[in-house]
Amino acid sequence: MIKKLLIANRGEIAIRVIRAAKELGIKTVAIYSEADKDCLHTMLADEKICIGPGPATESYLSIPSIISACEATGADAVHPGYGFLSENSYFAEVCEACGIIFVGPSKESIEKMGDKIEAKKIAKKAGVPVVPGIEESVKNPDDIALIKEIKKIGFPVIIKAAMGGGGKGMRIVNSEESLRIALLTAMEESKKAFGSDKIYVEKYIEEPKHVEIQILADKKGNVVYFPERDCSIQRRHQKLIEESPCSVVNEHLRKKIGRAATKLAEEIGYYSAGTVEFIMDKKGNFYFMEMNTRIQVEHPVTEAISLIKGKRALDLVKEQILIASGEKLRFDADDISICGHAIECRINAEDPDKDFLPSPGKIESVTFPGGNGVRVDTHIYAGYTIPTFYDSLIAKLIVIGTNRQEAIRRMLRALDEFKINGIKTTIPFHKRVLQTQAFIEGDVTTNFLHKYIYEQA
Amino acid sequence: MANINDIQQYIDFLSTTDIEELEITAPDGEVILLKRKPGIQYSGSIKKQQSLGETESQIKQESTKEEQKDKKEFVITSPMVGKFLLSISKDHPPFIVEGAQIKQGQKVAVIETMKILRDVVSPQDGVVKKILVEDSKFVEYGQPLIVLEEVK
Repeated sequence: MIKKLLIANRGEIAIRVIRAAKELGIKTVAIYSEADKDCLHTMLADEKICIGPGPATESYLSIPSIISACEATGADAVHPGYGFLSENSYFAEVCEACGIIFVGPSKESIEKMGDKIEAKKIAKKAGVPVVPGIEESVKNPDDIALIKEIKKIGFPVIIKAAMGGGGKGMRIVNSEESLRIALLTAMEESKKAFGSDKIYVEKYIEEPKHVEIQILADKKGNVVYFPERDCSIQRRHQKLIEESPCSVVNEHLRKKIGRAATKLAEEIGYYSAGTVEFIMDKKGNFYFMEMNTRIQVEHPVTEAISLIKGKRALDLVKEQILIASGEKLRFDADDISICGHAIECRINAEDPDKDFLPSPGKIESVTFPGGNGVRVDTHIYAGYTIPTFYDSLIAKLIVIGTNRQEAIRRMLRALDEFKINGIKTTIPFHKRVLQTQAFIEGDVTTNFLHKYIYEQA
Repeated sequence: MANINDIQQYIDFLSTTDIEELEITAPDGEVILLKRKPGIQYSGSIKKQQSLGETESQIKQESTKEEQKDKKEFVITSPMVGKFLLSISKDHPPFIVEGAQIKQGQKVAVIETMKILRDVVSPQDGVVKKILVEDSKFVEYGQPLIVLEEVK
């Protein structure tokens, strides 16, 4: 069993991991940058160590500094959280070489799923449906055979960066005329943003749902899947609201998607927590998009609705730590059932009235929501100044209701109670979405904001 | 509330005299305390203070800095998290000892991180007053390592 866990992250996810470790009786070490000396995660861990100045490249992304911090504090394991080094296979490799347990999958799994073209090939091989698209990455946008292949897929198509993620470097093309320029621009952009001009082309599914499957797998080859999450409310491919279960997925479809995710995990010998993302059309056809080889921001939604052998006992981060320690999963997919409906709103320090412009600054005062069925994962407090170096996520508000309608009403009630003074937040935006008739009726696709929110504005 | 221009007038007035301290009570009860810094002429950079308490605490902070300046000490901090090494190996003499005189740019210690050695160099001339960290101990980023005293 792990004895001392260093959390190579900051803010709410660092706190989430510290809490899980404490409940497991594991000592915790917080790392922090100079800009984060007042961040709540440094106050909740058993020990803390400053590893560098504000910019992430010199602190939270500095592998030598983090390994050194492990040595200095005697930590025998590292939890990478999400973002930063969580999907960096080299970091996983260095940890292993230094005898430090990396609380995540193997470096091979990270590598395989990190390259989106490779991941798609593996999914196809495992029998998981994939979006129709070209087989190889684009090398020459003027290649006649390539243009022919793309035409065969049928417009509209979407161009994606192989090394991309988080929605960056994507481009939709509606006709053959604009294809060549789009390919060239996408290659150029990808090179700048991800250091590789490797791009690929897929059929563009119109008004799809983003549905994803949380999995857990141990080092003995056991894989379990959880009920799907619907993360269709996105702005520029960034998720803003997540819910579970998805309102249009029935028990039969749930099993089908869950088994597809399981097959992919088995194919690559995956262990730890992971998420397989699918895109789903109106007919319930689903296609593999990518796999995230880390714990995700929206994991509490799954924790809220999953029952294991009839008990509300799921803590995905604890499971991750236990798996990393070599423990075997104590349940299988058939032991999991759904209880109620959960929604998560990501509260960002952004001004929704000014095109979601980041709004860092000092939080003068804050009142947190509470009551039945409400969970708040956050690192903010009254008097805390949000640094400008990092992500704008300041809180995750999660509610659980007996059904979707109750969950929506509960979320609106909780958003009303949540008062943050001093900075602009996305709370008013969430209230607006949750009161939209289409959302209430479950007409939720990745085009939602464009269709119902911004056109009205 | 006192006008910033009014305060500037008081400052200008003070600079023509040798008065050390000036306390002004405004009709609304607000108190402004102006105090001459030792050896420093008044300029327009004095900040307006809302209360006497704040003014005093600011002056106190400034005077602490003054004391440090009198001793002319400065601290070298760690450029990264890692193991603090005073010599290349046990067989070698340490880079510095307390009381030694060192030059600007001179290597004073090494921080080891994952078998990578990073030199800690002195930003200026001085005498090593105190080595704050034991050899081979881990240090965090920004941790004070060595106190130097300026050469007179």
